[in-house]
Amino acid sequence: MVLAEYKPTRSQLLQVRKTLKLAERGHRLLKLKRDALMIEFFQVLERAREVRSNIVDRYQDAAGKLAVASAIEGRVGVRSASHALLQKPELELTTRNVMGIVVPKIKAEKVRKRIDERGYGIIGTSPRIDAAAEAYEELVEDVIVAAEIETTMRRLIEEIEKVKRRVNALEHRVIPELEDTERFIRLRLEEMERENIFRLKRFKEAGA
Amino acid sequence: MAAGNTVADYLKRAVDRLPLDRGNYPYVTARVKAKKSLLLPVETYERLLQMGIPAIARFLGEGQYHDEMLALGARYDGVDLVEMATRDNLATVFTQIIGFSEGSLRDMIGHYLDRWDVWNVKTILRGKFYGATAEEILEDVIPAGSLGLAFLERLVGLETIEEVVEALEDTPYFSAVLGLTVAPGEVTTLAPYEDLLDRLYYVHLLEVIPPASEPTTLFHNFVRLEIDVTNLKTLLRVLGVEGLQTRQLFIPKGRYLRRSDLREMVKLDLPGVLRRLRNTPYHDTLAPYLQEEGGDPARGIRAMENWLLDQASTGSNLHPLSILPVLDYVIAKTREVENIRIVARGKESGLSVEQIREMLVV
Repeated sequence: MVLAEYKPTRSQLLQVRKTLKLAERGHRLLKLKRDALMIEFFQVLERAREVRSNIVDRYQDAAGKLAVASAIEGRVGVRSASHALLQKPELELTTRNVMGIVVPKIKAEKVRKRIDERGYGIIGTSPRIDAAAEAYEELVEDVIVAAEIETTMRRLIEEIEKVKRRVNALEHRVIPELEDTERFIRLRLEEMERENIFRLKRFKEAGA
Repeated sequence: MAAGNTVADYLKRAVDRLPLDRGNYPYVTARVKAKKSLLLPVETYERLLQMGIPAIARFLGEGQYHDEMLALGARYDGVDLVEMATRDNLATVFTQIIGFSEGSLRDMIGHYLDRWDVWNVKTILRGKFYGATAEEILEDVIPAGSLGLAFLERLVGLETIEEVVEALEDTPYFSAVLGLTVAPGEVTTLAPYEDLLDRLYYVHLLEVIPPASEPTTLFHNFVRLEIDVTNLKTLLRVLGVEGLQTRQLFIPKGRYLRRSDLREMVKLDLPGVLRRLRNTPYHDTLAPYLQEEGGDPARGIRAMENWLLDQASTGSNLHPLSILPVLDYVIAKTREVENIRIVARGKESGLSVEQIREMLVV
């Protein structure tokens, strides 16, 4: 904001004061929003940590069960059983609003399957394949939850960054500049007032 | 293997029902006994457990798997080489046995080994549904049954499921897979067709080998024991699964377990199932794993597989000039291949020696 842009008039002073008031109110609200987003972020972060740790545990469990299934059924048996699965999980992607931020909400269906829904026949396969399939279904469920939470987290971080930049801009640039402008116009108006009084006095002296 | 309706087929079936038996039992059992002596002794598995994958591959390459290891060495390596070579050896050995057996013995062995045909048909159908390439499907095919490699290659090369089903018209499996062409777009799962194929295999096996003579009766009884074990394995897997259609899950004509009993047992808990098995030979084997509510049915299933292996071995000792030594060898050879794979895959996956040892069926 360049001071020269402003004409030192009373209406301009009122306009700047109005803008300053608005900027201060915006600054206060944005600070509140930033703090609320931070609280929300830390809550989501806690859940994300939990889900991540679950994923690691579940992956290790699933990998172990797949290893056992591969050992007993062989690579051929496991691969052949995996080819039998025709139904893919269905994902429904909707959105929800967290303090003005649109975050995804993922609803997954048909991830966890019953033994007769996995595509392969029951008579000719082994329970180790069931165990591996079940473990991976649980893992996929967790991955979907993690996708939702981590996307929410990313959006929150982006929004927090954005709000933080706005708060800083208002705090360190816009508001000080508006205050300077207001001071400049106020002082200029006072100066003009003094000049006017002085001029009137001179006229009065000249007339006398 | 074709289940035709010609006069010749009718006559063959009629002759099969006569209490006459034709087959070179002494020769086949002697050859099989010699082959059995080549199987890895129990203590060898302990040695394998201490080896790495390259050492296991080298060890196998110096023994009866030499030819296959050599033939596949350029295409595969590590654990894949071990698995593929043992699998190919299995197919070769079984084909050899069919080759040197004659008469009704050959029929019985051939029909028994048709389980690999069922495996292959299932693998090809799965591959076609999934959209796997011909190479991928062929890697998973094990030509140890009546359907030769050339026929299987032709099946794999066919474009559509309808063509595959059509090509199976002269096999006993046609009726099981016919539904796949009746409503091609409506098929969302292969499970009922696969179960039907497995059931049909056993039904067909018992049908084509009627218990007319002592050898066929021994064969019949053993197959019916195997049906019981398969049904028990299925039962333990579906126990407590709600809303499951159990009508088609169990194979008919088991030796001690009727299908109606098995369907009732699906609703019970593990101790309840054990109580229902009290008057069968399976009770004592399963008791340690099913006594408590949170028992270990998976280990129970392994124990039943071991029990069947013992039954085949005992039967082969009691009836040395029957089909039982052959079945004993077929099961033992299959277990050997599985055990080698368990050791190799287990090592590759980083499983502990104890875990691998527990999975072995010896």
